[in-house]
Amino acid sequence: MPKEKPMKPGSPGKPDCPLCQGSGSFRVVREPREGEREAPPSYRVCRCTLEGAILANAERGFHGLTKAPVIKQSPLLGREGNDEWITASKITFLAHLRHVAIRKSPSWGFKVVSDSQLMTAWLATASLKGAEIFDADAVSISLTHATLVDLVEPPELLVIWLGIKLARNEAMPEVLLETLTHRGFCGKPTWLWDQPDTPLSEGHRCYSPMVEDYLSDWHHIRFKRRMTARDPSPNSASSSASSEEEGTPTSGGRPTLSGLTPTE
Amino acid sequence: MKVLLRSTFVAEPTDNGDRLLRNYLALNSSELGFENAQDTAIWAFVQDFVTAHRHTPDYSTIKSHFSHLQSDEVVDRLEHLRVLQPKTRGDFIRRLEERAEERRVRMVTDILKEAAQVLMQGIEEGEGKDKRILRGPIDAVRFFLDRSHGVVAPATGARLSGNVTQDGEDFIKEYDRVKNDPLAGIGQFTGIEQIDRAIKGAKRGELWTHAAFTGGLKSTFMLNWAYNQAVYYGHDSLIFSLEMLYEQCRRLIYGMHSAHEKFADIHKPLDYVRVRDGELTDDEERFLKEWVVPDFMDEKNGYGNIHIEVGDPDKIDFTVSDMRERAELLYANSPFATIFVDHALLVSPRKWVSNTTDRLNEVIRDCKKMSMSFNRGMGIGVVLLFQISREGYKAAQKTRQKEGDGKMYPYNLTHLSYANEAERSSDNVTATWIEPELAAAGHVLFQHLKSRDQEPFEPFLAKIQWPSRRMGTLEGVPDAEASKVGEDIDSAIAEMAAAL
Repeated sequence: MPKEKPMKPGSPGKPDCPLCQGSGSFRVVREPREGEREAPPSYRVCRCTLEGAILANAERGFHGLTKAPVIKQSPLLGREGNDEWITASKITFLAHLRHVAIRKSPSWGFKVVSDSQLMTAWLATASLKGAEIFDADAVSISLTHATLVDLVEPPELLVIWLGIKLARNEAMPEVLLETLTHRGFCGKPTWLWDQPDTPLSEGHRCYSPMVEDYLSDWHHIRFKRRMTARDPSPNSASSSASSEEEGTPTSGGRPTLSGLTPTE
Repeated sequence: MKVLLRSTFVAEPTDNGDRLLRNYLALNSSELGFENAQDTAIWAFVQDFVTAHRHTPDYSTIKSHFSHLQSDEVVDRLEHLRVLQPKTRGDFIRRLEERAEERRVRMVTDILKEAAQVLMQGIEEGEGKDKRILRGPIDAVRFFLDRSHGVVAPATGARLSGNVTQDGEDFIKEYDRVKNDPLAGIGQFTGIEQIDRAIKGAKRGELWTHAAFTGGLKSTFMLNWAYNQAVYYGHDSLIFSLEMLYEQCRRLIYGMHSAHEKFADIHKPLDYVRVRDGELTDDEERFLKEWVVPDFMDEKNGYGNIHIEVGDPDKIDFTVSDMRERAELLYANSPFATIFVDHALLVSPRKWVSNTTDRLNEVIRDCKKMSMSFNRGMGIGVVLLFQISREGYKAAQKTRQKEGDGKMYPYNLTHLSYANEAERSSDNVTATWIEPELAAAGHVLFQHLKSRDQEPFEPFLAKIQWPSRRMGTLEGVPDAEASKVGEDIDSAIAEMAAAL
């Protein structure tokens, strides 16, 4: 791979690309349909722009995701269309998420949101209704999402990062449950991610028996070992069906993707 | 009528099967009959053939059929028809209208005679228990009015009124016609795959509003649509350009034609700006003069017509009524399939109103009426361009800036809300969005804001070649290809890590 900066999202292709001559796409021919004398022009995004577009999409879904460790395989790949409950350390989960995200089309609409963001969006609705808010996070009432639905409905895959919300709010489990049920109602998949140190169980800010009950038939993947940036060893995972699944990091202090320069 | 019949089957290598099929569909829906028995037999065969095979028959097929049946008179008639010059498109429709007019004269004469009979002597109507006698002036007027619907309806078979509960037979006839029609339910395609797959083109009687902020590629999309209609589908369009001069539209369309794939090995597409400013190189100029223009004008290519009308310079106010009047006049000489109006804000209301909202609402309502009642109820697809206000644009920009929601929906219908009729009257509301990053990549974002009759399409990116302003479908990236790119990224990182 040439030592040059990956292209910005949506920038045209490489000027010396033999396929697109720098236009970023090339013409493809399709069969004419009934009523067509010949098929109107169609284009396909050129390979030389795909890399940049895919990395940009990964960054869009979660800022800094492309800098997560590289792993050889992930049990999450192929499960993008399913509801999953994943227990993993931050570095492990992000490595797996990165593995999936860079293997998806640049238009893949995934998004990582935190439980705190869910609450903020939910509080925005409450504040619009004029309710009095008693929450330590109330200062950060959402200015971008007027309702919870605004935040949770659009993504093709919603990844909820639990454990960010630390201040107590008794509505938190209900907000989480509402998010999950709304996603279910829309027929869209959700990945719920908690950490081994703070699992979603009694005592967790998001826990309630109703949440537990709702998640009882979800596939649960537990990544057993904690992976660190300097740990190049395999990172095994087990699902609730007790199957062993692996995600193998290929490098520890791995190079970042932007600029392909080494970093810690 | 014999020319009409001749125009429904292929007899010469130069006959265009697609156009003859359109002739067949028009003649079939007009319900005009043939007086000559041989013509009736040939027409019945053509109808059966198209129903079974979804294309018009060849002369030799018809001949062998009737030769096999030893119908020498029909074969002789077929030989006679064969030497006639077939008519297509506007010429065919015009002849069809003439025959329909003759039929109307006969129908009115008959109806008036029968009404006179009702008035003077009375006639029996219905059977069995429903039998009753119509007599006197009131029955005569009712009789005349009941039977006048068929006279007022256009030649192409559109109904203007009727009693639905008693109209089952006609409904089944319509269903069978649609079922056997390979082009049924298909309107005037845009040439952009995702839109056409979802909406299946602008259809008769429908108003399609396309919205964008100024510079949001409204007119470019419209001209691309009209160009695709002419070149790839062979259909005619009428454009009311109230924003751009005729010469500007023409220049843009010729620029687009320079990007046609047939010239891919000859020359790259011409830059519209350089055409406009007369700054083409000798090579480009030769390409324009010797290839692009002659090809676009060559009748052998069978391209449809793009008729562009700019506002009457002698009139300050150009209303939808003016447009309709002009369009119907043009239609009589050369029928077209779609009317484009560029754009709503520049069309004047019929009567003075004090604010923009009311003015726009009236224009949009009138455009919908025009789409439904054009050419005495025949209907036509009307595409109305709509300029989104700065407030709407700003709101959309804000939505777009909600970084990374995994959605691509800058616009919604509220951004058109200062003309709420756009939401109510339009059968489809689409929008285009352009921003610097998209523009740099040669992409434009399409959205479907409202769909009356089908599932809306998901927002998608289309390709635009800036120099020629040519738009095209941008196909999605297959998962397998994306996965391969992901593997390559990881391999490259592993290689670099190993090297370090």
